[in-house]
Amino acid sequence: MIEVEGLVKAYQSVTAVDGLSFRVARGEVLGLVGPNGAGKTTTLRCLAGILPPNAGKIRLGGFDLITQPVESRHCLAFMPDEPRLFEYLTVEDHLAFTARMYGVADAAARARVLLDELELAGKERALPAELSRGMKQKLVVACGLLHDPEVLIFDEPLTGIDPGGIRKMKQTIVRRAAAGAAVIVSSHLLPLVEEICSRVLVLSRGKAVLLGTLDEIRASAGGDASLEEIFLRVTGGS
Amino acid sequence: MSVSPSPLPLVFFTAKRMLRNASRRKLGRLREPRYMIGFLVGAAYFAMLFMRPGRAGRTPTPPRFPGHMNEILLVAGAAALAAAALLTWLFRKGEPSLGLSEAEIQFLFPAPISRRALLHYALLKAQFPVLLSAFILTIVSGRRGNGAAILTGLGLWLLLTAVHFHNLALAFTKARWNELPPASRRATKIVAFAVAGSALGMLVVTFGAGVLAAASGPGKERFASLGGLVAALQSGPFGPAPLALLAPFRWILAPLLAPTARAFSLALPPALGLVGVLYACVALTAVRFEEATLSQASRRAALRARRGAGRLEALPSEKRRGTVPFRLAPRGRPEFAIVWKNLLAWKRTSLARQAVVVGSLAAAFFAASAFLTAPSADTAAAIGSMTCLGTTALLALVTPLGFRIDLRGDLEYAAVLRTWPLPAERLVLAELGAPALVAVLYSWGGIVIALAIASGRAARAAFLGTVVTAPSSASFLRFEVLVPVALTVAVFLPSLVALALVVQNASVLAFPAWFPAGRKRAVGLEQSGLRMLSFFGTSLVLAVALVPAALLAGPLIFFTFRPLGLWSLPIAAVFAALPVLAEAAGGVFLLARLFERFDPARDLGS
Repeated sequence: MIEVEGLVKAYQSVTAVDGLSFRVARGEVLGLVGPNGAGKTTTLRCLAGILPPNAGKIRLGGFDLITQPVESRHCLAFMPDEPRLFEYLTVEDHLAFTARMYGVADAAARARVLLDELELAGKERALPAELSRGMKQKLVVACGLLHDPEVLIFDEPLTGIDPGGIRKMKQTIVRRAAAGAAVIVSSHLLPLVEEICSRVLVLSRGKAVLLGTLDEIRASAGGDASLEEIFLRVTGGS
Repeated sequence: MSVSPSPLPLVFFTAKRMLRNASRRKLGRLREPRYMIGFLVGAAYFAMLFMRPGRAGRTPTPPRFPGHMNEILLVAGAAALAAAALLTWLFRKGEPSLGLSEAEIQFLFPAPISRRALLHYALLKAQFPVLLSAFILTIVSGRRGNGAAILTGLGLWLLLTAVHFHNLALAFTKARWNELPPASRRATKIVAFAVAGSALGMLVVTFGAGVLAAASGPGKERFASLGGLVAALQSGPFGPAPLALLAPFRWILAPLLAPTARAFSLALPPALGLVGVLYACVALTAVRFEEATLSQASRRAALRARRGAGRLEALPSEKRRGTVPFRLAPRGRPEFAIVWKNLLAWKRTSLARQAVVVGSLAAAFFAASAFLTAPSADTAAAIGSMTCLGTTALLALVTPLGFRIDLRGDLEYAAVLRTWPLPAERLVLAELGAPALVAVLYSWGGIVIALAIASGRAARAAFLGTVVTAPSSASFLRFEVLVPVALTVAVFLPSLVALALVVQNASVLAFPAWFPAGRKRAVGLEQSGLRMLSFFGTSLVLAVALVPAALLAGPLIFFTFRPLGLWSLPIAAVFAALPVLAEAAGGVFLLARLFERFDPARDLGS
């Protein structure tokens, strides 16, 4: 469960996120969309505890991110848009490190399943420099899923992944939500959002301009408009 | 029909723009006080280095070698150069690459430029590093006054240009051979190998005979003049052939070694002619250079990326990738995962194996020390063990400065660190663990070796029933002195290392704009200055932080020295370590607060 209430994040004169509030229940996938500079990545970074918010409350898995940072981070996996890997650790080193960090007892068995699921089997001894962009992204996801988190945050999860990998990644996200995780997926790929997300949050200039299920959003737009048409209409795109 | 543009404007345009943009960026940074201060400190240091008295005197620099020695040096240098050239023809594979960057390949290869223009672009572009090398070598040579620096610079430029052209021509020629049909290729290589090998053999035999003649008494006089040397070499088994072979190498070296401006002007035409011939060879032999240029550019880009990330060494082999510092169980305190990770950032090695290496070294030194029978063995062993102890202590103090396998290195990953489920204090402490462990274990290893050397002599003395006899001037190097001193160092160093690490990390966390995070070593005059400031700042803070320890240890030694002797030192070290450790603990708390306030977006711009 993710609860965000009145989130504000400002950089000097720019307010990147302005009083944002929303909830993501267990088993739900929330699609976070918005034009460039709308505040999507800043929102996700605040949720992941990377950026301290200026105001507002964030609760992950029932724990307050500010007052109970360790407990809330235990529930969380954040998969950023740009995979940040330790270039001196191999694939198996990354998994071993993550296992110890989160105290995963059956780490070896889980790692094997994840490596197969994300098509990284055979790359255990590879260093990040030897992996393609898509493979790095998959490794970040494998590390994120290793401790079976309650809260999953994906920032542009399909960047650099091949068509087969895209299908598997979508299946992975949906499967995790079905297993009870609360998931946020930020993406510019509106068909992806339409396909896997149960609700959509459209951000523009740091504020929520639309929030609801796809049907609710279409109904509010008055008809059968596609998400793309609705998105362009509410964000002022042409 | 369109005409291929001249490469000259292209080279000058890119060079001018690169220089202008780089200068603008650097000058723009100097508006910030931190860079300006760093720049001034760095500039002052290098000015002191290059303009110290005695190097830039107003009087002209006298010729470096007296009389005929300059000419003899010319022959010897030409022989060395010839041998190097022949060895490259024998063993260097050669890559017909123009040495262009990935961006240049992307823009120039598909552009409407002839291959010849592209080659000229590459040759002209290569002149920038050649000129820079000539400039630096001229400064290093220390030849000043009366235009000597200009002549030296010109001589170096000619030599380096000739070497560049030669290597390119060699690569092109060998690539051409590879394009021949198999039979012709084999025959060509055999002939070339035979010619180069014979020439090299001739040089080795001739000069070997010359050296032998010089060493055997009567021949010595012949080396007192160039004429004598030439005669000696010509009297060898190959007659005048070796000296004729050296001619082009003498031509290219002559301007550099010319003692006067007149000698330089006389030496210039043949050298320029040789460079012209080498250029013609490059132009005539130019083959398909595209693949090799592309491949080299990719390799260089990858290397630059690794260097940018602070990794200078090659990727570890497949086999070594299974080696870890220690086995990391999936459950347990997460701090160990951070120490484990940072140790891997340092080196792929097992701590147990390192301990075995230190143990083996200690055993070897013990044995060598115990079985040494020379009269001065006691003194040698005592000096050896004290040197080992001193070096160990010094290394332990320097390690925190250079080993950025802690928060300083990991702050680049601040966005990742922030998501780890650890309170800030424990995270900071764990981050300091790896460099502290390396410094302390290595210093203890050094102490063990120092003690092994000393105890080897003591064991020998006990076995033989004699006394270790260090000379009176070095009586403080005796075993019974060494043990308490070593214990003192062993007890006090860990606290000092911890404090130094805290100070170094605090400077990066508190002033991220001044002292950049990451393992990357930024370059530039201002960065050198900032590093010096960091060193002085750390030294100053450490000196102040050590005052309480000194105040505690001083009286303690004063009152216990009489009854305990040198054994009062390790006891005092235990008490002195306590305030230092307390300061380090306070520093960790402060670091944790700084880390909590650290904003990657603001402080790293990520």
